[in-house]
Amino acid sequence: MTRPQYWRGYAEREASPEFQAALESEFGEEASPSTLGEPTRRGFLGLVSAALAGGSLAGCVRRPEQRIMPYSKAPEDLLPGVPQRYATATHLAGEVIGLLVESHEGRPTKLEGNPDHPTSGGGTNALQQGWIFDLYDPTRLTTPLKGHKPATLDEAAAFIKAQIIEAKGGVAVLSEAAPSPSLMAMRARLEAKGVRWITYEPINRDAEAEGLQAALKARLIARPRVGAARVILSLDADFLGVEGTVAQTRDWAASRRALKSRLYVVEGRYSLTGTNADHRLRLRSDAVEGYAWALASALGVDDPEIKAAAPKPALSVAAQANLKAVAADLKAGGGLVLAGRRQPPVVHALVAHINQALKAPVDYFPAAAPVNEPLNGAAALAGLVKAIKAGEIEALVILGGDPARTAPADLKLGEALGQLKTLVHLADRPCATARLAHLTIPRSHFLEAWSDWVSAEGVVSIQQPLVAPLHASWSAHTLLAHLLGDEEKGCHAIVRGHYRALRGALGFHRAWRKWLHDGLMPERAFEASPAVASGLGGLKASTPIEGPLVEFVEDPHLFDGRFEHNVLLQEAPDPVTKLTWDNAALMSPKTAKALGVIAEQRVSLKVGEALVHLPAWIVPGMADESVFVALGYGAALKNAVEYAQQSQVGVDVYPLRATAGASWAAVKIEPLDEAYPLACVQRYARLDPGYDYPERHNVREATLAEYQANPTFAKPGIIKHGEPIPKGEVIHPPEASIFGDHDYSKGNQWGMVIDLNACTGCNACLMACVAENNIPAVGKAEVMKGRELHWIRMDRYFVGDEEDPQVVHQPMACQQCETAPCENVCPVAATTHSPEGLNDMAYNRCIGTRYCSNNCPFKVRRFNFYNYAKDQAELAQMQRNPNVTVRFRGVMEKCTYCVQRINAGKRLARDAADPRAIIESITPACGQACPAGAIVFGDINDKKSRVSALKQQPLDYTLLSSLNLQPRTSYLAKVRNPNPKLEG
Amino acid sequence: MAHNYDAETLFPPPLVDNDLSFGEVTEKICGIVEAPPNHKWLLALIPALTGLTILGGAIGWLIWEGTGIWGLNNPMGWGWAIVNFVFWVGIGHAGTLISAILFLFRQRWRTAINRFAEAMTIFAVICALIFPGIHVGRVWAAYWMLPLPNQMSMWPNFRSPLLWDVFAVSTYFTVSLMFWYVGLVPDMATLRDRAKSKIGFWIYGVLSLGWRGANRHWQNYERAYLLLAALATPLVLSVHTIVSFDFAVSLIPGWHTTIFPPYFVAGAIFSGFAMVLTLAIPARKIFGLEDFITVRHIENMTKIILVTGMMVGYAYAMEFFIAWYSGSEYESFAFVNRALGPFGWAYFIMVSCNVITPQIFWFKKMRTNMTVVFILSIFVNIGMWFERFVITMSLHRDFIPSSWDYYSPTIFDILTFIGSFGLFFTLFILFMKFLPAVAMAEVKGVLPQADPHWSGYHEEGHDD
Repeated sequence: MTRPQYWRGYAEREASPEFQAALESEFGEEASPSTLGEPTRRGFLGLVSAALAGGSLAGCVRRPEQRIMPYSKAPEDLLPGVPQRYATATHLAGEVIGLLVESHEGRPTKLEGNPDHPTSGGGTNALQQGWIFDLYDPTRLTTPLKGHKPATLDEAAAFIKAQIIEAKGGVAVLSEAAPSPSLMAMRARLEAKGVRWITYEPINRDAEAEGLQAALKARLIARPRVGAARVILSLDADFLGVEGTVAQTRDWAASRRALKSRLYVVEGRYSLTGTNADHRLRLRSDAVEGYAWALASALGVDDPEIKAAAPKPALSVAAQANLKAVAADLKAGGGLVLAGRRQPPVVHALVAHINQALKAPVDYFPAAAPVNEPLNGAAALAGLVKAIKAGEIEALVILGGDPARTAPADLKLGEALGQLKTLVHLADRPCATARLAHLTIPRSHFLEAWSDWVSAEGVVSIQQPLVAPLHASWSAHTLLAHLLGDEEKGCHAIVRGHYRALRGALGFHRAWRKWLHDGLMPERAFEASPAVASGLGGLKASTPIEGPLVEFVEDPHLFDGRFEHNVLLQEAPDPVTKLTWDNAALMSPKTAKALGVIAEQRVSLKVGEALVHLPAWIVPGMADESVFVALGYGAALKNAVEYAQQSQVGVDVYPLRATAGASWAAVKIEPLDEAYPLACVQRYARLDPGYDYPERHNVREATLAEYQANPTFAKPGIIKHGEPIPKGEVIHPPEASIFGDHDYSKGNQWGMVIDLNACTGCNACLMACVAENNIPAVGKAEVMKGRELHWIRMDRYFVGDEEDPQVVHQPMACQQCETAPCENVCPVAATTHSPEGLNDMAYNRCIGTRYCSNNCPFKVRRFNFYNYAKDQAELAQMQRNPNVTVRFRGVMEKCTYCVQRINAGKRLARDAADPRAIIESITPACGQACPAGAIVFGDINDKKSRVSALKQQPLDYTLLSSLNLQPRTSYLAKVRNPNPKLEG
Repeated sequence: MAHNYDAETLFPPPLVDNDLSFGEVTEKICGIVEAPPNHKWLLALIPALTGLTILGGAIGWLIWEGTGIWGLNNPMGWGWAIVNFVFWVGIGHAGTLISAILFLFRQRWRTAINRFAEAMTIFAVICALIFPGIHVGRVWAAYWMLPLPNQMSMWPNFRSPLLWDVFAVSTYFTVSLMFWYVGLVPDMATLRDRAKSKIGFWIYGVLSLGWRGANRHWQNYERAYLLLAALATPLVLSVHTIVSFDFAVSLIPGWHTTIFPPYFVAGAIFSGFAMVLTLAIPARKIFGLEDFITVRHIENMTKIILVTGMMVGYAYAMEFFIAWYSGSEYESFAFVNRALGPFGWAYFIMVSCNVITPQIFWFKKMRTNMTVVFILSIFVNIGMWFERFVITMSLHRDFIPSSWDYYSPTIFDILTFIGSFGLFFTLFILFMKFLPAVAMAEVKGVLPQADPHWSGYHEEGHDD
């Protein structure tokens, strides 16, 4: 059987020579950082500095004076060299996360999940890991801009007083989602004064709120308890991706590890959740609603309004078969259905009914927003535009975000903003809205300001800053205090005052201190409320759209675009497409064929009059007749990364997104005769190498039934002479090391287990590693050359059917081989083995022969081809972890199991009463961040440690065992739980 | 018992054509050095110097900017620099082989070509030595590969094949240089004696180490030459064996093979002789050395190319056989991928140039046609460069498919390679002008006149 190698092959196999030439020449021009012909900024600066150095050599060289001074008044509890941790919290579009922040001598350097906070449990996602870089982002606004000229904060205050408070016209506030009780109190006071308040988030849960309002007759938010369900059906709900919460990933992974749950996904795009599904039904997103209607009827949802409104089922044969099995499985008990936020309100209403019928584990919480707020942010925004045009609103204050860009295109918000007499924008960085503003005030990062957040589950946390504002900036609280003309303008006093008034002064200080210490308040703001579904509130079935669709999806790293300046998040590969630095028109192989498009060929997408050009990228498993585009790209990134060599990454697709088509819209797609190179980090996506060779066994998986029949299926086979070759990895009998090995029976011996069953492929470990280990971004051009520096490579393989493949994720960092092949080839002994079984790198000794990388069978070593670390902006360098060497150019680097954390733990253990517990608590950054708890680290000599216990499991296997590498990292094989009725 | 000897065995043709006398040999060879530089020579020097300048620029930019200017990436830690290194070291093999092994085997025809074959060896090794030095990420710390005593007691890693390389290649260079220089001493003395300028007199005088042609000098010289030849002979085998260890000692499929040492040595001799031919054929024309480097010399060398080419071809076939026979899916995949994968085109070039085209040397007509031989020698050079390229590119698909990638050189890879030819030819062209390109003393030793029984000494002659 021959298998077409279509992942690597689309561009190469099908492209005409002309196209290929165009691709290559474009690649060459854009990608090579320096060609002889064109002088680069870098080259020029190099020459200038060489000339300068030469010149100054003639005189005398004076180094800039630097002083290291002791504290004249030392801060309490601060020991130089010992990091401090503080609890805080923040939110992303209303989704709150409790955090612990590590701070080195007053510099916050790393975010971790707060283990005591129900929203986290210690885990974080990739986005939260990358958030720390925002604080030190060199593109942040550093000073208020009055009429686009730098001004002081006092001038800003005076401007607000004169232009808004003392002016007569109508005033409105346009805010991002802000579930802050103290801010809401200020809002109520403003509204009492006649100020209009509009909340708009480009990526929101408005459809859910509307659907639940219709079915449950209350303003509620659904919180499915995914850990408690036996069978989960996700209708386009990416609850393991950014659409979900860290807690959901945690709970789902726990049930997954216990081999107790089954996941069905019905969706159009290949989401992260889809990659973890046991059964995934590929339906175009607008057809998911039809599935929901049919499911409601199959499950016997007994509601007259649903029965009346149900459309005629129009499901394919495959979908019907799937539906039948899914419905039976859900009915068998422990069923739970989730609806995606991109789905229309009626799907959410139906799902509320279905979950009620299934008695599914779903909690409904009252929404944090005031009752008077419209359910639909876009509608509220439309009202604002109307009011501005009617002259009712003359002054507008925008709290964060970039609504001029992210608002539905048909509202033409930008035009309306231009008509305002006064526009004040609390902005993070220069953006489309800030360009229109008469006054732009830099917004403080959440690590610079006080606030409070109430999570969807009612958990209240105080946002505690770790550092004084780096720039002249205000928080939303401070700005509102100015707007209200309050005496007290500091956000600390406002937030603290709010709770002091609420709780009473008696014992408040002590309680406040405890809240800050714990990162949350013991009492919840509200509890889950009972809800009974009845009727659809007049919601109707929508009609599927004819012809191709363009679907707008949130980016797993840039979200709605608020992180697009964040180069490290830009460089984190998309979990499914493995693309970095760009969004693309994602389409299935069949769609691409129908359009006559190959990967990296530009296509034009036309929705109404709006037109954008995007490069195509082919992803198997995407629904046919649909292209998927990520929001939030297209920002100008001037010199964000030295080697990016481009001023803009990705394409802004907000112009295509209108009120009516916020999730998807009918589109005209036309292939263009241009190529646009994309930076994909994984060029080969299959486990079978080709030429009819068997699949490589680095990922091992079985179904639950297979596992139960043969629990040791993952154990590698070794040839025994005279016996048939077992299925598994085979080369030849184990070789012996010719060099003397360390005695690994003594002391702490570090090891790691990665559970492929729990790993969702979310990239949290990758970003945590980047933040912990001072790994710089290298830029798109370098990624295109295959030089990304991530120590953890998130491998993603497609398996099975070419149109409908399944996916396996495999995080791969240095495996810390006991007989490491990298070590004996290094001519200068820069990489050697520690007695604790670590494969150490002495960066200062490395001369960069790259022989170690060549000889690494996992290819997990990374080389500094240029001076990536030094070329980071000075402000961005503030984020660095002082316990990790910053690598110079020409040096090889790699995962060390976070040796700095190991050593810190060992120091603590030396004096501890229970050293074992301390040793057991040592966790590398990846393991700490993993929301699924898939990465377990510890001492394998301690037979009672978690890692030892996991290594005894029958699912445990090591990679390439026949090379006698003795890796310290082992994997737990993946066990899928397919429905036997849907098999075959 | 009756033997049927053919005429050539009984009466071998003279090794030097046109019945030159001792004086004429001296005149011809020294004439090249003593004549003022002519246009032809200058015209050859200009492109060579241009190449040298390119090399300097490319290396300068490399050191300034970083290894990133090359096309390397993550799975492909080595690229053109290592290919070029092995290529040049390989070329360096012919010189020692001709001068040492053929000397020990009393192959007297070698005398005409040994001088510049040795020169070629030294210049090729100089070119080769550049690459391991500059390919490291931190050039300024490359000396850490040498076992220099230091206060940290930090020694290089003696397990690393790269370190063995350092020793092997530097030893080879040193011995080759000594061998070459010792052979030059009598000829330097000749040049000194004929020098008309003071500077020439002094320079050649110092270089000839006070050589006066005394019987004792000759005895010591012959002894030293023999010893050095014996010393250099194992090096011919060892250097490329060690170089092949860079690959063979690793565990990468396509590198990890025991056939590499003999295969590399055969390949090195193959490429070395090809390069000698590439140089000799134009040089004998330009400098009028047809009497010394005769068609017979050329023909002998083509025979060696034919033999070593087939050895290399055998190795190519055996690699595939063993890959299949090993039962290792990684190993056999590596070879199938080598021939059919993304770098299949390079494999095709390699096999065509190294195995297929040299087969025309079965025909004497082809062996003696200078144009054909010259073109073929270029083919072999190309093929052998691609052999190293193909081997190095094994990196692109090893064990874990997600790390697989492709390699494309950048302009700097190409310029550095071109530049290395500039260095090579600059050195070679300077050598041709300032040093005797043919070993006069040795050639005189193989002239018929050198035979005490030469009929020319006895006009009446014997009735043999």
